Amino acid sequence: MIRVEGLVKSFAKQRVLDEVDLQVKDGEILVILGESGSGKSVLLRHLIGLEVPDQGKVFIKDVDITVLPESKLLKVRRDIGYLFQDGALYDFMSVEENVAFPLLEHTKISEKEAYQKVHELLEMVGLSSAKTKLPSELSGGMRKRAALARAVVLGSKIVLCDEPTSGLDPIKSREISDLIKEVSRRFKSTMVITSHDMMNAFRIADRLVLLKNGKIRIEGSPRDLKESKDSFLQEFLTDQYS
Amino acid sequence: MVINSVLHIFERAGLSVIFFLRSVGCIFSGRVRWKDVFKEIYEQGVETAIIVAMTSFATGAVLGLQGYVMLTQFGAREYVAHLVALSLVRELSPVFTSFIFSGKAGARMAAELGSMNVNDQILATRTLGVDPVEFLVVPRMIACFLVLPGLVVLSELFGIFGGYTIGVFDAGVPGASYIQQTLTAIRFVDFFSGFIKTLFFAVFIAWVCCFEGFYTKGGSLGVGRFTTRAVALSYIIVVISNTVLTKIILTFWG
Ligand SMILES: Nc1ncnc2c1ncn2[C@@H]1O[C@H](COP(=O)(O)OP(=O)(O)OP(=O)(O)O)[C@@H](O)[C@H]1O
Ligand SMILES: [Mg+2]
Repeated sequence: MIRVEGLVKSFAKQRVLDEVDLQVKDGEILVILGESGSGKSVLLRHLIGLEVPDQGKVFIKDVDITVLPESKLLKVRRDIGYLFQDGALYDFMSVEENVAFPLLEHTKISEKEAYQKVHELLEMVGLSSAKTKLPSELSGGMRKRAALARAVVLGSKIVLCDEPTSGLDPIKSREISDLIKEVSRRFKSTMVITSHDMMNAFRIADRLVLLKNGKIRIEGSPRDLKESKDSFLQEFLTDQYS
Repeated sequence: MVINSVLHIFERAGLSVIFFLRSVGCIFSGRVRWKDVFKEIYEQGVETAIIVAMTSFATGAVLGLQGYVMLTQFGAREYVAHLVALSLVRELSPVFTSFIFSGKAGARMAAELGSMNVNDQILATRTLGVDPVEFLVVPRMIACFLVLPGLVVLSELFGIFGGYTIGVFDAGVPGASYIQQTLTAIRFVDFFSGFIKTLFFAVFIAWVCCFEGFYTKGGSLGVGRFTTRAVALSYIIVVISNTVLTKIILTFWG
């Protein structure tokens, strides 16, 4: 579904990604772990063509998106949902308008049908009672859930989530993680999630990769990683759990 | 150091030209969201209209007062209507209305786009498969282009009304003759030269304010910085282009 080959990206003199290779299979939940500043968000932005790499290729369904112009990318992106760290909901639209926006833009269904679908989705993410509120009137967790609804409303087969649990308390983190898992099951979507929330990452991931110094240091199933003897990973895990 | 900042200015200028061409391209390929345009027209127009009407009325009144005193010295006080009408239509209304407009509607556009940018909403628009220039910039630009000329006409009307109030009630010019004089004073060329300048100002303000907003960086501090810069740049561009355009128009029409 997604294939990354030899991805290199530098900002000024800092090499953030250094020949990253990555594959994400159909229907899989892949979590990208790494310290703050290790380039997780930058990697994720490459998967939807928001960054142009210095070198390397990104294939989405066997199309190399790194060579596409913005006008073609806009079409590719309709099949990909993207959850921003702070939601990035339009603050001049209510929650339901935000979620309905992609539907009204890209599908031919009537407004009534669109809102029906939106209301079902909002029910699923537990925001039925807040559907007419503006994003500024929501808590951080509610914003993330609304943004998740917007990211999946087109039924995208690929959903990318940047730090879905950051800034939330442990209970809310768990809730949104479970929600992501449920969404992926229900829509059979492929998910790539960045996180430094180990607990939830291990709960929902089918596979994890650990980013370190611009390279993928280690990758495998949650069990593989727990049993790994890699010193940096050990350090990373113990720091997180303590 | 100096070279760097010069390069930076050229880079910004180049970027702004590309940005402008992208917006214009959008408009000419028919990708205009009229519903959003009308919403913007309403938001940019209504609030600004009240300020423009008030300040123009006061300006016209002051012109009447000063003009009356001055013209009396030359024994030409019946020309006060001419003075008020021509100053307003040729220079004052286009320029001052543009100032007020960029301070209000322009600043609003820059701040809105700027905060959308720092909150990733512009990036999010791209991830949703929608062109942010088409969705967020073009409606604002078109609204600006349509609203400002309207405001200028409004300003001219209220300014003349201000002058009329002074001329008739303070200086004792008969009302009918004041109106008569105003109408003979303004030739088509006068109105037109002011109006053409206004169209240019509208384009410049829309361009500068949308550009600065769209490329705002640096969080909420950045929004403040880029917004004030947008307004300051608009002022400078309006004043300078006014001089140039006036010269051109006078050369060709006299
Ligand atoms: N647009 C940019 N311009 C310059 N440097 C950037 C840019 N985007 C990212 N960087 C740099 O790239 C590095 C990786 O950033 P990134 O946001 O990917 O980190 P991250 O792993 O997502 O961290 P976090 O967990 O805190 O979100 C950082 O050092 C950052 O300074
Ligand atoms: Mg990040």
